[in-house]
Amino acid sequence: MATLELINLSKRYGKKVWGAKDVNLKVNEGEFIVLLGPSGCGKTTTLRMIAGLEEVTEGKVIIDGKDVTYLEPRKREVSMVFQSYAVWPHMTVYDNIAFPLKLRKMSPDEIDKLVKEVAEMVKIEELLKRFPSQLSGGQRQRVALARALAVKPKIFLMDEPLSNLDAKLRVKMRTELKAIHHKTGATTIFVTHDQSEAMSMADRIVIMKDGKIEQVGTPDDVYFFSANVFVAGFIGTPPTNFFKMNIIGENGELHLKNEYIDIKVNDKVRKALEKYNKDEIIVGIRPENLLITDNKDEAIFREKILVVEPQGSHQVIAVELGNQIVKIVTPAFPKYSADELINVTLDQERIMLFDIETEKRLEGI
Amino acid sequence: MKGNKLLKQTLFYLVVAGIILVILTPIYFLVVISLMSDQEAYDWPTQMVPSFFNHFKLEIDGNKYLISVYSPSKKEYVSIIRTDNFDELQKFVRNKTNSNIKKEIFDIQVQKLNELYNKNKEEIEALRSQVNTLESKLNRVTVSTVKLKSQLEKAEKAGMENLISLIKDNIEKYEKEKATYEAQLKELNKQLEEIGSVKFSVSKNIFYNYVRFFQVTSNAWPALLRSIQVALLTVLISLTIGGMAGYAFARYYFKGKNLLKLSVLFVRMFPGISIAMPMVIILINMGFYDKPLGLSLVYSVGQIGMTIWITASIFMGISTELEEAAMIFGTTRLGAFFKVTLPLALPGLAASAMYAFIGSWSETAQAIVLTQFNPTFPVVVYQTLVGAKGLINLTAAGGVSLALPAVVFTLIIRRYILQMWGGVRV
Amino acid sequence: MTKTYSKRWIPYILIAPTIVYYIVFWLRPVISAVYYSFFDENNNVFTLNNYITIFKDEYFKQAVVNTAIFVIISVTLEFLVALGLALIINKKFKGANILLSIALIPMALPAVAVGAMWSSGFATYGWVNSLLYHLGLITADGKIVFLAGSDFQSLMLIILIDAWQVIPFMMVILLAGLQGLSKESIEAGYIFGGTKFTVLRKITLPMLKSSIQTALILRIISAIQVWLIIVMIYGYRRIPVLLEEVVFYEEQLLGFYRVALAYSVIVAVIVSMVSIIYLKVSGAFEKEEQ
Repeated sequence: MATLELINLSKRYGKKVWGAKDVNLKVNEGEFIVLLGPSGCGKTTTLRMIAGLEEVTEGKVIIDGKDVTYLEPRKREVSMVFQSYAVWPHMTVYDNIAFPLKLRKMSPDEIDKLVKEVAEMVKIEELLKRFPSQLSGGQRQRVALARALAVKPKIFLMDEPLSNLDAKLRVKMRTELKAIHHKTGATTIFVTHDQSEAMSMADRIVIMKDGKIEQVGTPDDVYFFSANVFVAGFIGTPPTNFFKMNIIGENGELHLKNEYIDIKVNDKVRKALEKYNKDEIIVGIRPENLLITDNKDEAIFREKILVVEPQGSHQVIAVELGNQIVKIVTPAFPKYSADELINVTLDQERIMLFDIETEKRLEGI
Repeated sequence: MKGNKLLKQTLFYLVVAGIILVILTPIYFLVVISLMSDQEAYDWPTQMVPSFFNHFKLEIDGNKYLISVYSPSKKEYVSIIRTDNFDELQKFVRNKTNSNIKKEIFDIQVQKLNELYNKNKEEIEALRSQVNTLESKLNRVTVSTVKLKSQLEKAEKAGMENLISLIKDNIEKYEKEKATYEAQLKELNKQLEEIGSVKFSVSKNIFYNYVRFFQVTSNAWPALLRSIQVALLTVLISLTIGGMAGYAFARYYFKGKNLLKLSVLFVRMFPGISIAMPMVIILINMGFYDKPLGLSLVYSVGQIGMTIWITASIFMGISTELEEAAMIFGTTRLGAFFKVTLPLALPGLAASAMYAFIGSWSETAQAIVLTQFNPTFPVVVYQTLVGAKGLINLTAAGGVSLALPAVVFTLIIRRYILQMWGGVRV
Repeated sequence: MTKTYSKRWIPYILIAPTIVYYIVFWLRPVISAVYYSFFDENNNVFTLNNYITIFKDEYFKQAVVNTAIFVIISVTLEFLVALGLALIINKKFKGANILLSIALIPMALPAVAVGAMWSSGFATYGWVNSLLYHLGLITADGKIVFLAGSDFQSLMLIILIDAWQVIPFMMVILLAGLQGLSKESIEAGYIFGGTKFTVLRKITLPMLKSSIQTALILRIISAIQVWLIIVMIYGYRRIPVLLEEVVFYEEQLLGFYRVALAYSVIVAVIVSMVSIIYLKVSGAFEKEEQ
């Protein structure tokens, strides 16, 4: 268990291409951090720099207050679960787990005890004598996990460990991983591109794009208080609906308006807009924040339903405004059907406003 | 820490440079020697680069011309021929130095030489006679030294201290004398050279050895064509037969698959040359002995196994689903193969063909046994190498002509060579 | 990867030409070689004389010994260097591709070209001595007489020459194997406490096992059959090896054709035995059973 600090961590390939740029992050003891982003965003590069597998171009990696930037991987006291599991095919499951311990010069008895302990923790006690080629993907995953746990690392690194599993197993492993983390309390850095994985497991999520950190925060933070248009669009399914709108004052009232939508803003939004001195603004509304109403007067727009996608627990309704598809999430009942005309309003408490130029979230909302 | 890294990197690149040097140096010298004239190739030390010009010296000696060529190794002129016949002179010079002296140039030089000679006639004669005297003196001293040296050996065996020191003194004296004579001789020769000879340079035909290899080695051209023929036939046979099996490997399960996979090994366990011996009789009976087809039939035995390995790895790289998709849209299995898989496999198959081509093109051992009057190109080169040891630059030219296509093809299929061995498991 | 279609006979049709070809152009000559090696050349009566001639030949023992030395030293040396070279190229540094291309050249060179290269090199007035002289390592009178060394030295020289050409071939097999290894498995070795050396020994090499086996078995088979390069550099019977003796009997002597056949059979038996022993010891057969 340890703290981790990344200071201006950067990785450059060749002369111009940045794998990661000025990554700053402070991880507390025992925290479960998820690095999230689309592929090629630099999350894996960052993880590999922490592990020591990738040379650092600039910046520092500090574990427990000690600068390890130029230290070999084996001296960093970290362990890692790889995307392809990377269990050694020529060793039995037992040897796979025991090999790192042997390298740490532990006694055979100690090793045996430890191997059995972690094997029990990840439920592979019966598999210890088998070779990896005789295991399923899920089982190999567990072996990789056991191997990483056994060394009792300061930092636990996981590079998309669940992405090669089938959907059902993935959800199951999530729960188990979280339980194991709860039990061991190991500081964990977990890389994924799957936002639901990130939301369900992380203490804090680090959202990255093009090698840079876009936002760091708890799952609720990044969802409800997305720092910018990218984060708001990346987190959440179906994704946030964005509208480019004009700010118009009418009869002493402030409206956010475009060709199809007209929002009469409440006091809170009005206050937030006071400091904003541009005419146009990006409005982000999450699908569940658009509400279907019978009251024509409070509707911000009125449109025919394009398609209904039933999801069991809820329905996703799509309407077309101009050439933009807008998605609305409503409860399972009442049922709607295509071509039905609906009035749509929104809860202004949860509206997101972004600067038209910087695409950053407006303060105070 | 960064300095340490730099040091490591420098060392690493030094090692790499060393490896490259070890690989390229012999090849470099083979090429250099193939571009050298007889004169250069047999000079010692061999120069690091072939010359592009020859520097000649022409003198009148009696009523004949004496032509010499400058040797960069010896740092002096080496005489080539003394003659009064221009055609003979031209031929000798061309064979020895790979330079063709044109009649016009020669005539101009002769005219210059005659003018010079007539002007300095007396001085030249005087110098010549001095040179002759000095040479005979030098000769005498040399003989005496040799004699003394053998006496010294005897004395050392007998352990006669007095005699040894006496002889040693004498040897020293003679050697000093010899050195002075040599210096004088050098000086005289230099003077003689200045007043009695003309010098001129003629460009060297750098590829003359290649021309000469095909001229001198009477069957080199037919052998070259034959080798191409053999190689193409081998490609045809091994690619058709091995390609079919390779496809079966990639797409189907069948009994004996592992055994067939190991056939490459089994086939190699019986020495190729030993197969060739009984094959002589078999081919004679078939009427293919000493013919390209006969050779390629034998070569294909070795190539088919390789072709199976390569083509199997190529077909495995092409998804079955593509074929199945074609079948769903209405082609037959065979049609799917020809319209979908084959075009996709084409680059890989071309690589496989080149691999077989190289193998057949370079093969020497079996060809030595399997050919009699119609050798292949490697055999011709082999014969010049083993038979006429005297013409190393010609052999080198033959070797380079033989190697060039093989090297070019190998570099073209570099990627596939790795891919193929990546898929091979014994 | 492989699919069983309903039409079971298709693969057999596809491999049939190969089988037939092997029978006609490999099995038949092999059988006739074995057969005739037991019959007298003149009267076609069963005899062991062909073999007896070989065992009585004083060069036979020497050939066996030389071949054994050649195989052991050259295979070991070539494997180690090839492995090092493959590891270097696999590092994917700047210029790795160029190094690979250059390293492939010796493999591509026909044996005769290699022979010309080295016989012109190791002649006393050859380019090797010239190079040493230009580099200032020897004087004009200090030429090394490479080809006049003792038998053992000559054999070592041949091993070096042969290694120069064969190492790239082994390197290619090992490199192909290395490139097929999971990069993450090796990285895991570093993460979990391995030094470069431990990772190489305990993880990379064991995972590379099948490529190593391929490279070694192919090389052992061809090493036992070395002859052409020796004859090109030294001529016949200067350094007798097994196959060189076969060719000697076949090409250089008249009337010993069947002795040469018998010799071939002996060589083939030795090659097969060594291969089988190697495959057994290295455990290549066990894999099939797993």
